[in-house]
Amino acid sequence: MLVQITEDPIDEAAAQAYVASPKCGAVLVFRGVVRDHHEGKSVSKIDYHCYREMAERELADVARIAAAGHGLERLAVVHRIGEVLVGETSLLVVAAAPPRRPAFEGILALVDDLKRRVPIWKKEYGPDGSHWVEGVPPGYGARADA
Amino acid sequence: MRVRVLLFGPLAEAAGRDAVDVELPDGATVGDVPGLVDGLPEALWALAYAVNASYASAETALSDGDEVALIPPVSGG
Repeated sequence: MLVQITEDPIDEAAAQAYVASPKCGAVLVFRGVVRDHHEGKSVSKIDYHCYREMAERELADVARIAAAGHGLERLAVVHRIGEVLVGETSLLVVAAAPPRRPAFEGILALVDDLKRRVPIWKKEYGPDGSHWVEGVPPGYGARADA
Repeated sequence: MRVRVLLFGPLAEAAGRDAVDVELPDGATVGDVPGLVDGLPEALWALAYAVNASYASAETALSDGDEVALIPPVSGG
């Protein structure tokens, strides 16, 4: 498993190379990209803030649970923090499994869980100023050993 | 005992800082912490806590030197 939090632009080629496996017939790439609008407001960039030490630990746990729970043979998860512009990738998940269904379901479960647990906060910037995006009360109680 | 309190996101912005040390009596729990941090608007009190980078509850007992994070609703991904 490759699990990383970085302030640099995400190296997608490295993540894909890491995930490649001759056992896997399905390789899925999910890119979470900053979009130019959200809830009626125009967005130019997002600034991701992070409790780094804890986010790395929680992200690793999220990845481990998704991989074990869905039979992902290979997995790479990279979350970018700091300023990310519209069109740039803030979250990359690359998953590989022998058949396709676990790859689709595993990535979806991983991203859903990440958004509930990992201590990262996003602040959106636009022409009218900036605001913190309303978050999800952390569902740490939902964590389960896979 | 003394613990270091870490603030994040909108909580840190509202309080004007991202860390503060607080003194607590022996036997204090995590739930005792928010009331001891000046400038923390009650409307933004953390909905979750972490002690030494792992999620904890308000009932978790604290020790000298612990690091307590006040965690507002998260918005990663």
